[in-house]
Order: sequence, then structure tokens, then C-alpha cells
Amino acid sequence: MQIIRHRYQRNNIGKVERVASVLAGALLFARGIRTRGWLGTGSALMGIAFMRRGITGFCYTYQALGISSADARSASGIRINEAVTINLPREQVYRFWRDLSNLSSVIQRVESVGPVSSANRSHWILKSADEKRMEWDSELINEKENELIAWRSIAGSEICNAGSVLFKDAAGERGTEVKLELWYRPAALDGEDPTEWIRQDLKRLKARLEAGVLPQTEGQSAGAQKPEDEQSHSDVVAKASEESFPASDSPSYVH
Amino acid sequence: MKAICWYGKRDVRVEDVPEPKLLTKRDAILKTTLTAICGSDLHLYRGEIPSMKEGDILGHEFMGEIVEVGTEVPNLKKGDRVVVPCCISCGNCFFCQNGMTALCDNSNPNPQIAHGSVPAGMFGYSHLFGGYAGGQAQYVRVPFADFGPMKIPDSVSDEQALFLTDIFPTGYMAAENCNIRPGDVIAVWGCGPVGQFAIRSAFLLGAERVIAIDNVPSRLELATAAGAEPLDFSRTDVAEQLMQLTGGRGPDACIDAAGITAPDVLRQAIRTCRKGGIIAIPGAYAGPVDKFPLGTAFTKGLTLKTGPTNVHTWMKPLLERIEKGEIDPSFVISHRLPLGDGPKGYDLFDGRDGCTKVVLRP
Repeated sequence: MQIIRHRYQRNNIGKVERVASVLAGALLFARGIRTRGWLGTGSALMGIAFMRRGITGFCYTYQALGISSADARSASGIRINEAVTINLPREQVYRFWRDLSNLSSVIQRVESVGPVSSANRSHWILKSADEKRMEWDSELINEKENELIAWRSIAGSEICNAGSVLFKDAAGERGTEVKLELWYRPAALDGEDPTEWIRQDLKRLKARLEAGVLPQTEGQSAGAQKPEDEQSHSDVVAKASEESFPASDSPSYVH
Repeated sequence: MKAICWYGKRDVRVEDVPEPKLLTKRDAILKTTLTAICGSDLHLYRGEIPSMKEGDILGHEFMGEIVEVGTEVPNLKKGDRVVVPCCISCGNCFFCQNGMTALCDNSNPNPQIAHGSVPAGMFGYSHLFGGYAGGQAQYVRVPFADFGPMKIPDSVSDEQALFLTDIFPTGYMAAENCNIRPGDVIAVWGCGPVGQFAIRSAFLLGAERVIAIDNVPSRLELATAAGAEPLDFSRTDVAEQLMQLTGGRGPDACIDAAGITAPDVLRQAIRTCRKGGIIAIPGAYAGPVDKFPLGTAFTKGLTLKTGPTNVHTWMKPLLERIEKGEIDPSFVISHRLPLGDGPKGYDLFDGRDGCTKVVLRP
């Protein structure tokens, strides 16, 4: 997961203002180098500063004052990049992903995905940890058969998000690399971090496609159990992987 | 049905639990005819492996008769007599298709564990290994049953076939990992069941000599019976003795069949192995070990080979060796108990002396 704060910092000037800034900078610079003395040097330096401001789209003064003339849409958000390799031909993986009804069987948090009236739109219902439902309509914005699918939520959605998935042949006939990029506005998710869900969903997608079934333990036999342990298993194992034990003693994870 | 469940450190109980059901179309249900306590179960018993949960059914060495199959298990039918590999593997992923079934990508339902690089699921071996119900029970659900279980001919008895599920392939893979060449001397630390199979496998693969290191008299005797030279670490300086026994070179390859219970073994192996040699680690580990002498391993140009056993890969060739009479794996059994005496079996095995292997009959 990447929290895109720097994009907010790097991009606080709108497009029109950026162009104006570069032009003004160039003018000042040109005049500066033709004028002798301190005034000329100062003018040229000022010109460079303006051009930099325009080219990078970032203004220190604006940041200090908390001002931005950039388009709010691209201003901030959280970007997640995850990838998985699936041991199947690219066409097959693409076809599976393209059929939204397949996706809802592997994405745990999604309660349903369904088409709406327009062919390029779909309706998504997501469940949060506290069982709150969030819904939005998504539209397909780019598609290249067997290569790429990109989408974004339509204007005015409760969850503002956009994403793309790339399908690439893994070298040496090792299947298909699936690269997912998601961007969303954090306010929508109440501080939950979806990185872990997405990572798991990609593993589920892989199992569903490669093995035909998802690994399953729910509903299996067990002796009387206490209600779910306070610590999740991943915590215990992560802790065990970080803490080393002396070579003279074996460790104990149970007391 | 009856099953042996884990409840904490040195606390395993025989419980009445519901009988297993098919949960996916690639599942089968097996009626257990023989099961065993593995040395690695003792790691769970001693609380050395994280992520166990109260009530978890133990056991990953078991065999029996198929009583029910899912719709996508064309290779098996009711009544088939099979052994089941201890690791659960899908058969479709890159790892399964390249013989590394213990590293299967798709059989562990807890992919968030271990930074996402999870091992294959395993029967009754903690939630790190998927949290699957184990085989020390009257009935077991076998996932991916179209890929794992292997049918056993009538000429091979239960006691001969059972250890194809884990310890025979585990000992064999350790020896195989040693790239044994004529004249090689192999040192094996830990003469528990895996060590015993490693010793015999090393000879099967052409080792000139095997040095067996332990402190339990009964285990050293069993090793000696296979032709190994015993070394009692409680009476001698192992490093010094190994140098003496190998003309100052050190063993060509070392096998750590002790695992996390005695992490010092690994340091000793690295210290004594000859330059350019191989350390094979079939013993189970979890978490980092302090003061790991990587510098020594580097200067000596050692190769370390470790990981859970790719049981599927070795079951068939090893069954052939059993059928040919090259080895009879039942030699390792010291105790035969009913399933209901499981907890007693754990206690006996934990005590080590006089106990090399406990099999349980439901």
C-alpha cells in the first residue's frame, strides 16, 4: 500500500497555472540573462524558479499556505499495487476476470457484483469489517483483450476508486502475471486497510483458477474449542518470525 | 468418532468429535486403519511451533480405506486402500508440477501467514500449515484426493506402507539432498525415526559410511544395526570425534534430523562439515535461530538444503524399494497402541529412551 501524500505535495498547481508559470519563467529568464548586474541575475533565477514550479506542478509557497489550484480528483488517495502469477495461459486468466460473476466468488469483501443497464457498467456492493455496506457503480474505461482492463467509479460514487489489471506472460512459460493497481479515497473505508484483503483475494483467484477449488477448512472436525483466540494466527507467526531464540534453547510459543 | 486433539503444552486428549464431511469436490473421506505419532508432532506437543489452536486434531501420518469420494476424484473409489502424503498439495501449481509439492501455492487456506510465502497445507500441523484436521482419528477428510493418496498393493502390509506418508520420504529426501557419491561419509544428528530413515537411505544411495549422533542408547543401537557408527554426544566431543573419524576432513554431508528441539546441532554441523559439503535439514524449524554461523558456512562454501518434504515425489519410488525388499520400514516401530492410548504414546515418545516410533490403531 502506498499513501500518496507526496502527490498532493508535488501537485498543488492547476494545469492552466502551470503553463502560465513556465511561460512567465521563460520570459523572466530570457530578460534576466540579457540584463547585466544583480538585477539580471535575480531575474534569471526567478525565471528558473517559475519554470520549475510550472514543470513540476508544485509550489512551496502554496504548500506553506495550504493552497492548491490543482484538480482535487488527482490530489490524494491510497494506491495499492499487488501481483500474482497464475500457472495458466493469459487468455484463460483474462476470460475469467472479464466475467464479473467469477470475480464475486473470489473477492471476499464484495457481497455482489452485477451488471447494470449499460454494458460497460457494473454495480458493486462491499461489506466493511463492521458489516456496513457500501455501494458504487463502476465503468470500464479501457480494455485490451488478453492484456488490460481498467475501470473507475462513476462521478458521485460513495467510494471514489479506480483501478487496472494487467495480464502479462511470465517468462519461460510460467503462466500469467496478473498486476493489479487500485486507487481509492481513504475516507470511504473508515481507516480499514484493504491491502491484506486484496492480497488474499488474489491468492484465492489463483487457487480457484489453478486448483479448481479453494482450500477449505471451514466445517471440518475438531475437538471442543474456545471462542476464537484473541490473537490471529498471522500475528503469532509474524512474531515468531521476528523474535529469534538462543541456539542453546528451543523456543516455546505456548505457555 | 474418536480423535486425538491438542489442548496445550504436553496436553493432548482423546476427544469425541464429529465425523468429517466432504467440503469440496476434490475431497475424499478415509477410514483410518493405522496412524502414527511423528517426531515433528513432538514439536507441537512441546509448544515449539506457533499457531496451534485448542481442539485441533493432530496427526499427519495415516493410511486407511476410502469410504467416500467427491465428484472430482476419478482415481479413487470406495474400498481403495491408500497411504496419504502428509503435505496437502493441489497438483496444478508451478511447485506441484515441478516436484516441490510441500511448497504448493494453493492448499494453505491461511495465505496471510509467514509474509505470504506459505508452505503447503499439512494435516494436523498448526495453522501456519493451514489448520487442517489431522489423521490421528477414526476418519479423516483428505483434500485434493485426486492428487495425493497412493494405492497400496496387498503384498505390502499397513506397517510397511504407513511411513511413506512422511518419515521415510523425509529421511530419504535428506539423504538425496546430500548428493551422495562413492566414498562419502555422512553424519546424521538425531536418531529418531527420521534420522533412522536418513541413515538407511544414505546407505541405499551409496554412502561409504554413516556416523549416527544421539544420546539415547536404544536409538544408537538401532542405528548401529543399520551399519552406522554410533556417536554418543553425552559422552564424547562430537566435533573432535567427527574429525578423528574422517581423517581431519569432516563429513562430506551432514543431516540435521533433530530440528528446533536442538538448534545447536545446526551450528555443530556447519562447524564440522567438510569444505564444499552439504548440510541437509529435514528437522523442523520455526523462527530465527540466534548466532547462526553463516560466516563459517560462507568461508567453507557449504550448501544448505532445507524445507518440508515433497512427499508426493518420493512415495512411488520408495514403495518400489519396499516391494523389492530393499527396506522394510516397519523396523522403526517400537510401540503399538490403540488410538485411545494416544496421549500415553505422546508421553512415551517424548521420553525418548526405548521409544523410536509409536503407531496407533483406531
